Amino acid sequence: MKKGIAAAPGTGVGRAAILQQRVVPHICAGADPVVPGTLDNELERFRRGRAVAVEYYRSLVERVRTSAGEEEAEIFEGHLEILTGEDLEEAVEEAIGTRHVAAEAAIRAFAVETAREFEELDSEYFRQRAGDIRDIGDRLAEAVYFGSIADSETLAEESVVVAEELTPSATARLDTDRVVAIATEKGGRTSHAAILARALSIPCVTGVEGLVRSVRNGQWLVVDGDAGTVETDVDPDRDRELLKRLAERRQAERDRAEQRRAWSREHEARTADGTSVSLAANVSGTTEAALARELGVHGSGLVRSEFFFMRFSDFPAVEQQVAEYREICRILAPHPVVIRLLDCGADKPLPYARQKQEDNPFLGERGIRLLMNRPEQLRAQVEAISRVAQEGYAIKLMVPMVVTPEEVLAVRDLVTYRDLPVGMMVETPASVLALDRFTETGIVDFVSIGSNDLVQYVMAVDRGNAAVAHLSEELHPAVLAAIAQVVRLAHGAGIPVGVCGDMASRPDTALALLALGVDSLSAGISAVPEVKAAISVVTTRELQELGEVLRTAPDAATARAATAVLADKCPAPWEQEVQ
Amino acid sequence: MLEETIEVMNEEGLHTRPANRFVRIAKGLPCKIAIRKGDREASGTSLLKIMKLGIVQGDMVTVICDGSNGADGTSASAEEQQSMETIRAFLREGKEPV
Repeated sequence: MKKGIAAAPGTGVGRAAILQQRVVPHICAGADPVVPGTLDNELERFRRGRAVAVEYYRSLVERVRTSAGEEEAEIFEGHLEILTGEDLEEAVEEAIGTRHVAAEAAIRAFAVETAREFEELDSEYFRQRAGDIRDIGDRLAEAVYFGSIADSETLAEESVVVAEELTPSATARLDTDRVVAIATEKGGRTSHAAILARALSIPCVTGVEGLVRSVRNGQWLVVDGDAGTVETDVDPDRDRELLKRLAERRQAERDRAEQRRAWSREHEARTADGTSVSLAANVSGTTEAALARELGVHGSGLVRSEFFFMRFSDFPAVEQQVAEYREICRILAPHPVVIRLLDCGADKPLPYARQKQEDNPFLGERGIRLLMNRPEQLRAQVEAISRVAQEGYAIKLMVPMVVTPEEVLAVRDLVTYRDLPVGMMVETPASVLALDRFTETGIVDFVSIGSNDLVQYVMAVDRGNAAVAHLSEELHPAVLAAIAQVVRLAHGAGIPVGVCGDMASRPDTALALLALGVDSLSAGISAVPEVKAAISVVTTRELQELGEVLRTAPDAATARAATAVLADKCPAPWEQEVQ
Repeated sequence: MLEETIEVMNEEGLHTRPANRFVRIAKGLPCKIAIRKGDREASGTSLLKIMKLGIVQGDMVTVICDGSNGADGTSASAEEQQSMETIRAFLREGKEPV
C-alpha cells in the first residue's frame, strides 16, 4: 500500500498502464558542445522542431475544445503562446550561440530554469505551472530530436494510468473512457491532472513517492481517491475475490445510479393516495436542464440566471440571454420554467458588476437591489425573458431579494409581453410580514419561498459560521410560522406558493413544506428521486396531520420528530423493484 | 509614458488563461505595455514573464503604457490613455476590447 494525496474521490480497480514519454537521449540533454560551424544547423533544427510542436499543440487545442471544453482549450492556447513566444526563442538562440549546445539541450536548460522560477512563487497555482513548462520543453525537445511528437498509445479498457507526472499534454491525449483511475508521483490537488480527474469523475491519487519504479505495466492496482492510497500488492489469483467484489461494487454503483434515475423518470410525484404534487428542479443552465429532464420533473422552479452571467466578462446582450433561456425552456417543455433575475452580490459576486466594498454584504446590494442600481441591465434581462414568453414558451419571471412592492413594480414596468407571469421570492422577513401588500394588489402572479435566505434572515444566523450554525434550524417555530403565514396570505388571494431552497431538496423538510400547504417544490437535481420517493409513500391525510403538529409545535425538536416519522417511511423504492 | 497602479479583481488573477488574454490585448495596443508587481517587471507581450510575476486576485500591480508623447512632449498622449483604459478594464472587470 502506498500513500499519496487524495486528489479526486472514488475507488478505481484496473491494470496499470504506465505512461512513458519518449526520452530524448542524454547526449542532447547535457551540455555537450556542438562542433563549431554547425551552429546555424542547431538553430535550424530548433525552428523546424518548433514548427512541428506548434502544429501538434494546435491540434491539441482543437481536440481539447471538443472533449473538455473551451476553458481547457484556452490553457493550451497559452502553452502555444509560450512555445512561440520571444522568451523561449531568445534563450535558445543565446544558449546555442554562446554555449554551443545542441538545440535539445538549450530547450531543456530553458525549461528547467523557468520551472525552477515558478517553483519559487508564493501561490500554489503558479508553483504547479512548473510542470506545464517542463512538459512544453519536453515536447519541443522531442519534436526537434524525432521530428514528430508521439501520440498516446492506445489504452486497454479499465486502465489505471500511472505516471511520474501526468503532464497537461499527456492528460489531454488520454482516452478517458478507458481510464478507471489515475495515480502519479508528482503533483498535488491543483495539478492539471487532478483538476481534470475531478471534472471527469475519475478517482485520482497524486504525490505517491516511488510509484513508477514499483509498478509493472499490466499489474493490478486499487486506487482509493478518498483515502489517497494506491494498493500495489494485488495478486489476481490470491485476491480474485477482492477484485471481483470491487469490480462488482463499481458496476453495482453504476447500475444503482441508473435505476434511481429510471425510477424517477418513470414515476410521477404523487402521494400514496394519488394526489399529484408539482415537483420541479433547480437548474443553473442547459446542461442541468437536460439532466433534470431525465429525472422526470415538472419543469424548473428556479433557473439561477447568475450562473449564465458568470460565464461572461461583461453583461451578456439581450440576444445572448434570449438564446439561453429559450434553450432551457425547449429542453424542459412543455413544463414551466421560472427564470430568477440575476441574483448576485454577497456570497455570489459578479466581477464586472464592480460593486463597492460592503461592510455587511448580506444586508447590502444583492438580488434585485443590484439590478435596480443598474437599470440598463435590468431592462435587458426583463426584455430577454419577455421575448421568450412571446415566442410561446412556458416561461415565468421571478424577482429575488424583494422587500418592497416598488421593486416588483419596477420590474413589471419593463415587461414587454403582457402575459408573462411575474412572481417574487419570499426570503426576507419584510416580504413575509407585509406579504398582503404584494398579494392583495395583484402585482405578483406567484410567490416562491427561498428557504436558505429566509432561515438566515429570520434566525439571524450564518449557517456557514460554525460557532452559530446550530441555530440555523429550518424547522424552528419562527421559520414554520413564517412559511404558514406566506401560505395563508397567498392562498387568501388565490396565489400559488412554491419553495425553491434547500428545504425542498431533502425528503423530510420537503414533506414538512407540503404539510404546511405549499403547492409546489423545486429541488436540487441530485435530490429529485429521493424527494419524489418520500412523497410517494405518504398520504394526504398524514400530511394534514403533520401540518397540525408543525403549526403548534413548541420547539424544533418536536417538529423534527414528527417529520422524521413520515420521512422514515421511505426507503429507496428503486432498490426494492430490482429484487 | 503613463503609469497607473491597478488592483487585479479577476478571481483567477493572471493564471494561464487570463494572462494569455492579457498578452493578446497588449499586443493589439499602439503602446508598449509593461506590468510591474513589487520590484519585478514584465513585458506585456511575454506570457511567461507575466506568469512568473505570480499575480493573484487582489494584487496591486503597476501598468506602464509607453507610446509617443503628447503635444507638449511630456504629458501622456491620447493613445497611452486609451491603452491604459483598455488594460484597466481587463484587470478590474475582465472586459476585453471587441
